[in-house]
Amino acid sequence: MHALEVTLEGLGLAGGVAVSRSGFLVLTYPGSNQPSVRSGEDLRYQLERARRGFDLMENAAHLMNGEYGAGDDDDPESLFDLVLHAQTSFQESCVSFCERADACFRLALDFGRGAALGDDMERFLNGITLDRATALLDGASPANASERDFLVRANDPLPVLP
Amino acid sequence: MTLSLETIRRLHAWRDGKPTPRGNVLNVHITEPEDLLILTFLRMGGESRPWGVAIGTLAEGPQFFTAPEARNRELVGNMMVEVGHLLLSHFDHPDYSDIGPTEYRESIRQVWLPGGTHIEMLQNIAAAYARSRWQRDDIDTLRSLGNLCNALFIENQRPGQQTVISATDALRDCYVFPTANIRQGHLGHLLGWLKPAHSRDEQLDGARTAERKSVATVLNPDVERDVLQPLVERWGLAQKANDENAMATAAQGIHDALTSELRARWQETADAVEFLNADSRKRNVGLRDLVQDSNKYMFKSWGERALREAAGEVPYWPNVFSDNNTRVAGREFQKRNASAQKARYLLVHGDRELQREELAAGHGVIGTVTAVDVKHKRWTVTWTYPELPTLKEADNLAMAGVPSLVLAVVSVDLDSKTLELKPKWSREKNVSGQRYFAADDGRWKGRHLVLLDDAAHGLTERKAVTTGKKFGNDDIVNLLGQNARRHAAYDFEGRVVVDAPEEADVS
Repeated sequence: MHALEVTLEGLGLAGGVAVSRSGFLVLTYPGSNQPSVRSGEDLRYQLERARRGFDLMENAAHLMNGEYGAGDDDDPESLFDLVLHAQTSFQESCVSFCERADACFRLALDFGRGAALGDDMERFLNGITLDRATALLDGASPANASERDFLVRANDPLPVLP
Repeated sequence: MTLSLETIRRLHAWRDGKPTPRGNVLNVHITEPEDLLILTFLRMGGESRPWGVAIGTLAEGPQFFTAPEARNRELVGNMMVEVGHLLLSHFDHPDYSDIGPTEYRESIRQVWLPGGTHIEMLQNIAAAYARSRWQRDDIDTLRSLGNLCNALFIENQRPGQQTVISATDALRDCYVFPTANIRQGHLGHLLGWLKPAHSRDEQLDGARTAERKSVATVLNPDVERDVLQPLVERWGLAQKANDENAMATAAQGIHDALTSELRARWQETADAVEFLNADSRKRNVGLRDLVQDSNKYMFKSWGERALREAAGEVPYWPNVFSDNNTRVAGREFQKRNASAQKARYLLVHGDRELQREELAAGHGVIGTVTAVDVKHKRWTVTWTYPELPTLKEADNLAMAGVPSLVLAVVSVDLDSKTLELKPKWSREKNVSGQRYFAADDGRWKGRHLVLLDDAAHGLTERKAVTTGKKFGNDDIVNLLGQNARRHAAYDFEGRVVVDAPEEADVS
């Protein structure tokens, strides 16, 4: 509904066409194929939530070092290009919903980010790359306090049994 | 097992470039091939009932059942009746087997599924059929199938059970995979890591390639859209035109396409079983008791009721959707706590890795017997690990690997790191061919021991019974009710828009 309104406004048709504030929901009970139609649903509140979500996304886009919000933003190809080359912060949850998760995972792996092995690994490595962590585990000397701390934490914390 | 411990293990596995065995024993029971049923489902996008089912024991191989149109509940019902006969006979339902269910079995009837979505399908089937009032001749089969699926779904959530096994969970129990947790829910991904390869990158590529193919109950969208959708449309048009030949041709095409997908899922589950079977590690000795326990639970929650139903009685079948009241929910919560404690207790003595985890959590000590008071039959033990155990007076400690040798904690001195213990046995003992001295034998002095907290699962079981009881009309649990539903005009912060109606008017 919100997307319809934004599109109509973009096309200059907002004055001539009104978007209905009511709709219908089609629901089913679990395990049943029998649809239950609820007509006359007041969708004003869902509309408001969607508007807030879009606003948040736009605010986030404005934070991209001025790359959005100026210049050729209306050109779909430029926007597409902007999204493709934007900096990403790959997380474990991306795998479950994002089309770009595969590419971002590959980038995270290339940069040796712990996130490639999970969010907990990213926190555990605390900025140390996977290659460096592997080298430290294989006996390389720690170069700074962060690496020394990592080695203390990465050693097997379990006791040796008699 | 703490989160950071699991992270460290994963990091070491990444360094090794392959999945690493978890501990020196396997903690998953794999039953005989003729008792091990593999069950996989497929469903149409947006539907909750199956579209196709592969079912068969490891010994006999799969049989495939499909419906040409997953939205036609008559066709799906017909298919599920056939599936029901096989599943009910596997678990010895009295109407579908000559033997009938029993809690005293040497072996265990298991059902293995590829992963979580297939287990959820058990609940969907239960929801569709367990309490169905559908007017058809074979409705009893569908109801029985629904009740069995509900029992299997509930049993699957009980810690330590060995009846319903998810292949992904079994592999994760036995290996540490060098990959993110979220990817470890995909059976193909895990099997990809387990295939022999020359390098870590090769294994990773293999696992990621396998991951692109769905193993869940839904098909890959392109397969459903490009292969199956045209066939289903053709079947629908033929049905409208009453063209039986065209219907049969389209139905065969749908069957072939679904069978190929089902076979892949069935085979991957079988591969996981075979892989674990080929593992040279020993089986945890505690599994024998867990298997007996699983047989008993399954008989109590399902077998006994099925027998009563077959005898013409009207047994109580649990509600598919709800525990119905907070008291029952509380009881079930405590019962699962007790099951978790019991499973840990039964497994920890046969698994040194679990013993190390217990000690790291403070649930026991590594120590030396520094004095044996022969007169009072008391030992003094000085511990070296951990720094701060979670022990207190009146706790019980068992000797690691010998759960029958139990010592009661008389006192704990945290400053001098000493425990005063009272052994609960007296004479010399012979356990599994090993001799253990009498409790007052001075030769215990100087022995290095691993003592583990003897979790009181019996106490939690009693707590479960108490939680389920109603203590009169003033019982505080009587005050607990369902939360009121919230109107869409309100969220957790209050009104969504300024002119939202008063909450009292819309709730």
